[in-house]
Amino acid sequence: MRNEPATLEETNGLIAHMIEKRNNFLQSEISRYPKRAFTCSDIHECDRYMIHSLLDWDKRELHDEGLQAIFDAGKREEENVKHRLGYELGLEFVEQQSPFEIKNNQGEVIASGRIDGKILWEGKAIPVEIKSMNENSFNMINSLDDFKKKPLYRKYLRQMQLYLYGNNQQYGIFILSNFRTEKIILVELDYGECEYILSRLERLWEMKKRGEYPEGTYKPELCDRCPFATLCMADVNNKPADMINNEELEEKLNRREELAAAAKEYKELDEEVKTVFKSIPHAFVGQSFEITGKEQIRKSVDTKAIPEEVRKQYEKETSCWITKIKKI
Amino acid sequence: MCNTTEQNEIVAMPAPANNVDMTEDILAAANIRVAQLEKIVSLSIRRTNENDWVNQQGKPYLCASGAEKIARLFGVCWKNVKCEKIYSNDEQGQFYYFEYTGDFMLGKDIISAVGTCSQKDQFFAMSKGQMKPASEIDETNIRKAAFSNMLVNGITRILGIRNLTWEELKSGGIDQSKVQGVDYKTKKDHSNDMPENPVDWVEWLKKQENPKLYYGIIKNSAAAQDIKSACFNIMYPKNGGAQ
Repeated sequence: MRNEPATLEETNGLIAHMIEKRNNFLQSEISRYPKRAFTCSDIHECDRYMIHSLLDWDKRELHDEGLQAIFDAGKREEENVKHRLGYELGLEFVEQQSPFEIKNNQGEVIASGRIDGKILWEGKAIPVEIKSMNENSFNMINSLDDFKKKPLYRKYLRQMQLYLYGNNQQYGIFILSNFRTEKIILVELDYGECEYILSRLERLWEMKKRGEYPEGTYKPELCDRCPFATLCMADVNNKPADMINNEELEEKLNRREELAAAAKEYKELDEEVKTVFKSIPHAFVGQSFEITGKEQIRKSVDTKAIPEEVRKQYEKETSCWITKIKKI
Repeated sequence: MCNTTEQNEIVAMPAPANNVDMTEDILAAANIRVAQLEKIVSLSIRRTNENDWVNQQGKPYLCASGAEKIARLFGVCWKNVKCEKIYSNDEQGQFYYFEYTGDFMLGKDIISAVGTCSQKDQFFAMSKGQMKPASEIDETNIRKAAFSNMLVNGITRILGIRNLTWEELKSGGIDQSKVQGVDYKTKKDHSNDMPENPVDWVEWLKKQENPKLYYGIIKNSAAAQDIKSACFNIMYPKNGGAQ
């Protein structure tokens, strides 16, 4: 090692080397494998995808280095979570990555999977599936219902149902990680849902045996990143955006945009100055401002304190329209 | 223009719009069409970002990701997509290419578009200046590229947004310097492009769109250290280095 400081080109040389080596490493990890049966962790909502995944596994479009890096990080985080469960909580993790199979009534293996593991608790082994995710998703998911919001997370639900079914278990837990903390969500075997998944798999298995592809229906949220898009070739029906020519409306939108920064600053300042005057009934600032304040008692219901079973009785779904405005 | 009645009486018929009026109608329609096209171009570019474009040997090229965004904006639809793997021959032997065809629709307009990509495509087939053996080329990449080419062709042609310039992209908020470059030349080709005398390299590099391509050649050359340093400073300016 020379005792001279590194030059700009030497440092940039190191950066270029690191990027190239990292990409090469990630590329070397990307591959595809033959599939003989459906994979429990990849029960897609599209029937056509399911058939392609078995019959055309060798033509599946490979993912990129960025996604591979996410997969790698997920695998490492799974180990970290297991380590924390064992080292910090003293729990024993057993049957890690133990395989299981699901057969049809003819005894054919139609789906297979591996469960992350089971935790020994009071003499019983409880199935556990660990999922790491980015901060936004982690914050979004707080219950099983939240999993239904996106196709990827809906896959997690189907995966867990098949794990419980395949392992003859009534209950299991999801451990969600944002790479710092964990969130634990209880899952119960849902016989109705499981029956639906299994009958769908059986139907698709028969189609696979006949080499038959179901009709493809374009759904942007499922199809846009599909690794079989070049084989599926489904008709795409895009609905055009409404083109509104209304100068007055456009002017109002422009004005709204201009005011956005000022409105934000106003809100922040309003909160800041009102904090200063908390508990002060009457004050003057310089010769320009008079400030008055008084304590008010407001009645409210602490909904969080209501037992969940009671709260659920009063839950109702209402439709709402969310409008997002973005300046382009 | 005239016509005859039953009594063979000559009756004057109202004259159709004269030539001047017709020309004006056509011009007015054309002006409306031009204004509409300008709006389509402007909205299309604004719908995309720098990641949806590549700098292909100095020209902006729309990627499939950008084309799909634009298609959704204007409601471009496609159907009857077909794929064919076609074998062909040249002096180097047999090779294949994928050809995708599909019908693209916008309102009542419909066109047919084609997208192809060959096993010999430089982007997939070349490695260190040599053609890769067929076993090392991932066929799905070639298939995907042909499919993407068809999408981009179909969507840009039906909307009339082909051959856009960097100026048009700039007015739509696309920063050319943030657009990834694609250069199919090999390292050997790069060295051939460079001036023979290293003294001329600095000025020459300043004119290159992607000076980083020449990093290896300059690093391994016998040029004086101060010339190398000046070249590297152009490749990696202090306020922003490697990506």
